[in-house]
Order: sequence, then C-alpha cells, then structure tokens
Amino acid sequence: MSRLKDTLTSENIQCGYAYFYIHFIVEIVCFYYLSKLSNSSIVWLVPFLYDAFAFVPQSLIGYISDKYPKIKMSFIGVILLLLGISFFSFMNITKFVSLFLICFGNAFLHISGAENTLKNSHGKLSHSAIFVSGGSFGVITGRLLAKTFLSAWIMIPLILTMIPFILYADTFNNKKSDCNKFNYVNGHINASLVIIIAVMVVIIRGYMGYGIPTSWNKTVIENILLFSFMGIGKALGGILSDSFGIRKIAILSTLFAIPFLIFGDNIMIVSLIGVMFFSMTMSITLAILVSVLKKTPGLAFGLTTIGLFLGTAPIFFIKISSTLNIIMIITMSILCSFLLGTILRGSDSDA
Amino acid sequence: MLKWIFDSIYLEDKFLLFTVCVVIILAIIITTGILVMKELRSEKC
Repeated sequence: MSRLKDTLTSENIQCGYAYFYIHFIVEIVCFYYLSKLSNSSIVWLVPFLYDAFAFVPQSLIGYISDKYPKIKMSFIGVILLLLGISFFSFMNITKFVSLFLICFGNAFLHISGAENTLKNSHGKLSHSAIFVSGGSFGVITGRLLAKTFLSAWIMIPLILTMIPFILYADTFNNKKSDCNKFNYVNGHINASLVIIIAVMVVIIRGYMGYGIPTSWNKTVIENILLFSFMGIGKALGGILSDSFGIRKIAILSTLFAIPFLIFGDNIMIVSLIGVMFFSMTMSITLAILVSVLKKTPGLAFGLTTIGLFLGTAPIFFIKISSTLNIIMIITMSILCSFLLGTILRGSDSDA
Repeated sequence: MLKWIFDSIYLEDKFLLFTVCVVIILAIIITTGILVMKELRSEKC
C-alpha cells in the first residue's frame, strides 16, 4: 500500500491530475458533438472521419511540438474546439467543417497532455496514465449529455473551464525535459523492432476493444460502469507499473484479462474486471515507445494513436462471428503478453 | 489537391470525402514512418 501511496503522491503528479480534467472535458465535447451528429444520414462516415482526423495527425502535431516546444498546443486546441462548437451551434454551414475543427482541437490537446505529463514524470508512467484515463469518463459523459435537452453552446463555457487547468499544468514546464529516464526496453532488441511490436500491440488492443463481448451492457448505468472501469484500468496500468514493475504488470494484466473477458459476456462484474485488466496496457505501450524515442515524446504518443486508429478502422467494414471473436481474444492476448514480455526489461524497472 | 479537399467537404460527397480521408491518412502515416526512422538514427548518434 505504501508503494501505491508513494506513486500517487510522486513529484509533479498534479500535472497528471490537471490533464485528467482537461482530457475529460475534451472527450465530453467531442462525444457530445458526435452523438448529436449520429442522427444524420452519414452515420458511419462521421465516426470514421473522427477517428482518422483526431488520432492520425497526432504524430505530426507531436513531432512539431517536440521540435518547437514554445508553441502552445493546448491553447491552439482550445481555440479549435471553441470554433468547432460555435460553427456547429450558430452557423449554417456544412457539418464537416465543425467536425474537422473538433478533431484537430482534440488532437492538439492530446499532444499537449502527453508532452506535459511525459516530460514532467521523471520516467514514471502514472502521470500519463492518469491523464489518459480521464478520456473514458468524458466519452460516456458526453454521450449522456447529448441525450438531454442541453444545447450545444453549453459546451463553450465547459471548454473555457480547461484554461485554468492548462495554465496550472504549464507551471510544471520550467524544468528540463526528463524523458531520458524512460528506460523500460530490453537494450538487446533493435529499436525499430521495438517500435513495430509496440504499435502492433496497440493495434491489437484497439481492435479487441471493440470486440469484447458485453451482452450484459444494456442500460445507462451499465454503460457508465463499462467506461468507468476502462478509465480505472488505464490509470491503474501506470500506477501499478510504477509501484510493482512494468514487465510484471504488462504480462499479468494481459493474461488475467482473458478468462474475465471470455466468461463475462453475460456477467457484468466478471466482464468489468476483464475490461479493467485489458485497459492497463495503454500507458505501458506509451512508455515503451518513449523509451526508444526519448527526444520526441510527442511523436511517440502519436504512434500509439495511429495504432489505435489502425486497430479500430476494420470494425467499420468487417463483422466477425462471436466464436471467431473469442478465439481472436485468446490468441491475440497471449501474443501481446509474449511480445510485451520480450521487449520489456525486468530487473531494473521492477520495484 | 486543396480544391479536391474543399469540394469533398462542401459537396458532402461521401465517396470523395472517404477517398480524400484515406489519401491524407496514408500520407501522414508514411511521413510519420520517415520521421521515426530519422529520429532513431539521431538517437543512435
């Protein structure tokens, strides 16, 4: 317990908490907007375009942010989100303009969060894991708000509430970037191979995320619980890795998730535990990529989002049977566990 | 290229929009690959 307490109170962890809130609001805005658009005739195209333009450009935005750290990506993101919602609420122009603005706003704010939390974490995973976990709570909140009578302009003051948190998180930026402390990768393996494996794990995880059998998920409360456990899992992945060792957590969380995901199709609590274990690898793959791209953490984060897009894109075009789905969950999880165990260092990172 | 992009947005032509999107995604992914290789080379130095 003392290890966990130390992790949750470690230096600059407040930066992670600030970006938890920022990420939470960003996803509320994006998923409120997406849910409002889902009634239109372009129902399949909107989520596809959103995934493409919110996820894929993050690698280039991240690279620019790495090379020109003085550019305030967070404020660009806020302005883009404000423009996107304003166009959607008050102007009668094609919805794709507001969609692209919101996608890019999301991308800029994600990069800002990744850069801040990685550079100020002293090589720890908790900061970025806490930042990333905020998104899951935002997704479900945004979807639920879209079903209420609230008008879109309500999102404007909500976006503005991020500004004090951005300013607060920026106060941690005075010191020199310490991504050099990310040393979680087995030094004997070629860096290019490490990147390919890490991105492949993200792709598999992204694909599996949509294939998890959840027949139990029918009510609003059950949906809230699903996304909450996803968020808790993402945060726990980083916190437990800092406390007990990244390799141990990467292997165990991937393997433990298998029985819970398979047998939890009709039993909520079993499934939720599986979802929580399954979500833990998110910050671990990010830490692996930063370990080989120490000078460009923004680019490393962008690689994970490209992986997520490549993993989720097939679900727009392919439907597979439930039996094949279960076989894929088992084989892919074992493969991910093996790959993560191979590329991660054991001794140094284990607490 | 830009005209193609703007036409696809304003005409709300689903096929054109999808094609533009795929082309842009591929271009970004290829550029990212090049940048990663460049960074890996500089990390080694």
